[in-house]
Amino acid sequence: MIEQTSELSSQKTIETAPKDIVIDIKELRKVYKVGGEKVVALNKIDLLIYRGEICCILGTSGSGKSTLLNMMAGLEKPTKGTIQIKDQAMEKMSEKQLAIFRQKYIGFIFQSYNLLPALTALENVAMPLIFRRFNKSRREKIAKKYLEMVGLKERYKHKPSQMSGGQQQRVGIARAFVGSPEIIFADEPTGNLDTKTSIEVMHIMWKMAREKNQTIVIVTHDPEVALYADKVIHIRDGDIQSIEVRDGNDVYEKYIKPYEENYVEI
Amino acid sequence: MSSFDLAVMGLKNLLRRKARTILTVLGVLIGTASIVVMVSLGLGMNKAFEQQLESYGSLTMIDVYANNYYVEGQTNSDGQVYLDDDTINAIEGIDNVEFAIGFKRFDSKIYAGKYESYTSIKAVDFDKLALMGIKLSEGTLPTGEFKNEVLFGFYAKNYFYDPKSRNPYQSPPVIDVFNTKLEMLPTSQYYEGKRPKGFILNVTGVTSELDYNYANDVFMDYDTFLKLKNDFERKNKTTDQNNGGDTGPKGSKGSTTKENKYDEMKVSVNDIKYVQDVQDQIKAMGYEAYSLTDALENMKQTSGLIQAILGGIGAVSLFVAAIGITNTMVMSIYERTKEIGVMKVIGAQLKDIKRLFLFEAAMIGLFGGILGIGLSFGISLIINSVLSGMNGNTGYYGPAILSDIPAWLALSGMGFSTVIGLVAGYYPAVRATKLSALEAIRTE
Repeated sequence: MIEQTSELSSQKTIETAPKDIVIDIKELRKVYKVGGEKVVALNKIDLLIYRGEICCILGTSGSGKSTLLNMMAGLEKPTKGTIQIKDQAMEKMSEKQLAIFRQKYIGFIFQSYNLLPALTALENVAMPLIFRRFNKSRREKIAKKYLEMVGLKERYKHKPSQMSGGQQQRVGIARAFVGSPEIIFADEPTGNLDTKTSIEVMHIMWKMAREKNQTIVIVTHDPEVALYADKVIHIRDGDIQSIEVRDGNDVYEKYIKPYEENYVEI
Repeated sequence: MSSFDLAVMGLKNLLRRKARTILTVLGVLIGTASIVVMVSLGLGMNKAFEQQLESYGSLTMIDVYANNYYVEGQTNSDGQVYLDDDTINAIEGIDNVEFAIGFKRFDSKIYAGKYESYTSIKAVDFDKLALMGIKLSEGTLPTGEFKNEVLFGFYAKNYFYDPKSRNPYQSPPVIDVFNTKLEMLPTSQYYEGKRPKGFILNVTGVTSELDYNYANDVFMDYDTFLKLKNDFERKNKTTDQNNGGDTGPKGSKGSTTKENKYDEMKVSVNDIKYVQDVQDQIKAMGYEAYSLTDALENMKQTSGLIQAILGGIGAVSLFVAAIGITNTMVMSIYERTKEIGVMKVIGAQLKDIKRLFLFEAAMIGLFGGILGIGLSFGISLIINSVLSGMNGNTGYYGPAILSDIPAWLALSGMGFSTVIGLVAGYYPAVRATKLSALEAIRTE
């Protein structure tokens, strides 16, 4: 524990300019009770995430990475410890407050896209704006812009069932970004996609987040996804094993570009 | 989420599950129709009661009698009250009383050529009689233009008979009272052979056949009749011995003892809602008072009970429909668990989700209500045309309307079914908000 904090503080001093802390997790613990037996999903997690960082929580299945994400998004309550997002204690908020908080600050990308099957791509993307009480013409204008950004200009009227997995996930990305949230959580966003599509999807996410200096927290088991991150958090059996921090300015040149070019060559 | 977007989304959701929505709406439809038709039957019954009562007499009239009218002679006993002009003044002093009118029946005989009739004369103040709103089938109300004017009850015409005929009562003659010379004697005495000279009557009108209230009466102005009677008695002194039962007002002989100038009074009240109150006040003055509101109250109580039973039967089916709505919405939640979870994660507020489900349930209620009202009007039409057609020959007392759906019933039927929808949707809606978003977005 002491080692970790020293690591975190040393990490801070490396940065040239002071950064805003967006997510501050302290001594987070989550224990599930399964049939009378206690299962420790997260043991003791301390983590700082800064504004504009693209973070990747990397771990195998059962490592507790999804639990961590769910708690950051306020979908689960921790057993112990605190999660502060934008200086607000998530674990103390009521369901109602959490809903308001999510609407204001958080976008979410799912592994299985979770688009509403009855709605068109455009309507799906515009959905978060409905909850923000944007009128129809305004929200459709914004939604169209985001669909264009993810390269689905021609697919406004398509229903999810008429689109490929990659296209659906791109609609999902547009939906997560449409409200310009400060933080975007992505739960295995490439989990259902092949490598080529994964690259497309990760590239879009990376680019969109960089443009507006948005923070992304991606949970994945795929080390190739982690190439897109400024900070890679390796998690195993409920504990952080190591945190790999890269200089955000040369992530593209050093990691992403060679990877993507390499893939195309094959 | 704006209400408009919510409505659009809710309607889309309902349309997505057409079959189930239609079936649930059908349940509400039947429930609403049964409750509305049942209540409409009750209302129709009430209406029929009122129509029936109105044919018996005005609902705003109170009949007043002296309390111990039948115990004559005990004139000095305590609490003895009389029906006279003082009484009329006193009663007309009560709030909401339009006027009070007194009647007194006098024995008399009317001759029409060879026919005669023992019809008594009902003496009344003609000025006040005009206020009674008596409907006529022929002629006019007495105007005071002619001498000895009378108003004939339509049935009183039929009491004439030929005393010399072998079967005098078998086939009553049809007397045209307007064009026949009618001679009246203010006595019921029987005359063998020659009879004293009477007074010629001028019939101004005949009452309507639709109103049995005055069917048997022959009305004559009180003062006019009294004058004729006094005239007659003065001329025929010897006949006095036969006037045992009814001697007429003794007040005219200068006596100071109070007497009943009238046998009966009618009091008109300006609104049916004050009738009971006025009636109670008159009773408090020591008189006997009756009105059709007594009967109406009884009938209303009875029909209220019947309505409650009928409505209860209807309510059961609406209750079943409400359970149907709840069931549909709960099913819908199970089906849409994922959708609700996703909506929560991407920014839906708890109240948005609650309102969405409440709206959908209320819409099922409203659609069911609207269609149910439509069906009710249809059923009501059928009941009225088929059943009242069957009743048509039973006479004019038969109710013409069996089922009555006034606007308020139609509107409250719709409102009620909507409220039922809301109530039925409340539990599922709350449940939807409590659904864990995490559970909803699980990938498995």
